[in-house]
Amino acid sequence: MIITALLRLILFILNVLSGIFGGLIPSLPNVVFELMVTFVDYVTDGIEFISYFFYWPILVSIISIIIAWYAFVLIKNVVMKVIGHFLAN
Amino acid sequence: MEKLHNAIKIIFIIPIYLFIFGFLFFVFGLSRVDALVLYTGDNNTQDYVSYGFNGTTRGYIYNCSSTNSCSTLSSGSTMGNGMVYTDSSLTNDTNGLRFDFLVNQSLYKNTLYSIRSFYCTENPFTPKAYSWSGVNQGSSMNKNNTYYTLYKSETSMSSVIGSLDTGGYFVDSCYSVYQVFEPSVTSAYYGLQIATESGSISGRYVFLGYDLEVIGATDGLTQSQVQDVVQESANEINNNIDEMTDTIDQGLDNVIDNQDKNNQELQDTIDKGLQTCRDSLNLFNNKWTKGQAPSISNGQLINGNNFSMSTDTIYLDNTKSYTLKSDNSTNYQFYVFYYNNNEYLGYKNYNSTSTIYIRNSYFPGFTHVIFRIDGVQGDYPLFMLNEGNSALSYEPFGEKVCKSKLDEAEETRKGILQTIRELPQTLINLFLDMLKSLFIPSEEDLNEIIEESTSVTENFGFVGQSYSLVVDLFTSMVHVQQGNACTTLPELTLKFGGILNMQDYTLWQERNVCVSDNEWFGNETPQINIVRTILTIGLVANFISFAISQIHEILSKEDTKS
Repeated sequence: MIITALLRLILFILNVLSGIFGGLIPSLPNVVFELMVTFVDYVTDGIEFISYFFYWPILVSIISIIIAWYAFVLIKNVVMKVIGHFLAN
Repeated sequence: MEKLHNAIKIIFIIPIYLFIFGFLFFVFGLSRVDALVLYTGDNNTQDYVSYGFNGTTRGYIYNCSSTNSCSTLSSGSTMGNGMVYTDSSLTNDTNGLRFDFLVNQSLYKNTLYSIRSFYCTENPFTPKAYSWSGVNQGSSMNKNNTYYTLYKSETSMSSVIGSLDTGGYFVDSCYSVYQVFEPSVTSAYYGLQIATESGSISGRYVFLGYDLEVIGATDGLTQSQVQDVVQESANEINNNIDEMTDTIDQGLDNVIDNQDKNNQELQDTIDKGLQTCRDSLNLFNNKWTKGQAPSISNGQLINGNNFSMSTDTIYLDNTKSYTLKSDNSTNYQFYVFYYNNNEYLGYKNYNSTSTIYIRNSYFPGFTHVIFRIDGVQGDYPLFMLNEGNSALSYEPFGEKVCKSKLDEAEETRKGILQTIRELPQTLINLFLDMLKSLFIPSEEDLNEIIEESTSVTENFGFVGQSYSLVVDLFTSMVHVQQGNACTTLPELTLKFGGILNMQDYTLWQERNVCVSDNEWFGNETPQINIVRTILTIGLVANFISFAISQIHEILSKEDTKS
């Protein structure tokens, strides 16, 4: 509830900001944007196509482990830097 | 209930046994003699003793020594079983027609009805023989060159012979017969005849009592014929008794069966009275459609054999949440395809042990869904689709679900005890759930936030667009499942229109092609399994290499410094 409320607050602020400054940021031309959407679709379809040639649950498990590992390393580095910062001070 | 059952059995069974005993007593205790048959047999009468009448039947034998009348040879005596009558006058009579027989009493009824008939024969070489029947009152027949005629209306032998003499016939011999019959229940048989030829009659005469209805013949009976008749009669009686016993047994069985059925119906009625019934909460009607299922790539229905089955369209109210649970724990894949009228919205994938939720937050505005199941092993699973966020136990679709009130009361009692026992745990869980709800957003909340964020990012120009594209790519990749390697081949047409009057030539039409549908390289074929195995081995090897490199990186000093 609290986090949801915070996220909604952030979204509200972003909404206000986008209302004020959003107009200053130009959008991509439709052609370019549609091209990017098509690209995303192709990537998704391609991955799904390729998945046929794998034991997909195993592949997903390995990728999940790798992502989790990098997330762990990232958090570990952040924590170590924070602790190191305090120790250094 | 059991005592009541037994009491009803006794009430039904006692009269039936009484009936059986009564019948047997009647058959064996009060045997009757319907008629008397004069038997011209040998001297051995012992064979007939057991079949004869006993003591009370009276017989009369008339000796007709002339054509005028017959004198009583033996009459009025009480007959015994196998009683033998012999008279020398019978054997020495040379007048041709000299024996008559009359029975007018029986045990069964005081008077037996009788008809006295006359049979006469003429010398077949006489010239009038051909018209024998024409001058008399009865029918005639030719038997062994002897003419017989039957006088139905004459009352005395003298008048018969006189009539024949007057007519110029040369009578060789005559005899009279009393055909004794009794108007029985079913028919009127006659069982008495004595046939005499001109000349002497030798032998002994035995009176036997028989049931008229089993004799049924007017010819004289030989010993073996009588025995046969008696044996047939006995067999018939035995068969009738057996048949009746079977009928009674069957009747008893039917009574018992009916009583059991009635008891069961009564018990069912009582049980129903103690039940509470309601409509099944299961909304899932198993209308499987084999051979056609939505494509994972675009949700269109396709034909193929790479899936086990799918369902017909299932319309649901998107303002409510639904939960679906299977009783089958085999390893299959379950897909829920969401549609908004004709528009395909997307799908969600679950494994067989998952509880499946169908919610508007997944694909807002959906109107109906189609389920697809791949790789079901064994029996088709039974699904329970119900409203709400909790999976319920399976109930058959569209049927009444009844539960005994006693069971319900017992469950309620257990439920109360369980609730009391689990109260501390429940309070803790509630507290934890409250904390979770305070800090951890629910999936529905997150979906709503993502939707809102999408609308916000759209206002940030190319920054928002890039962000939404990345999010879309990420979410799409997260939701990617084992595919079927499907792709759409566009139409290929060679355009020759307008060139030397040539027409366009289409090499192939647009078509959706799935590798998994391929016979040689399709799903579950050895070839694709080999490819998957080799690629998986490569992946695992790379992963191990990656893991080793990471371990080295952790243990190396450079990483520690960094």
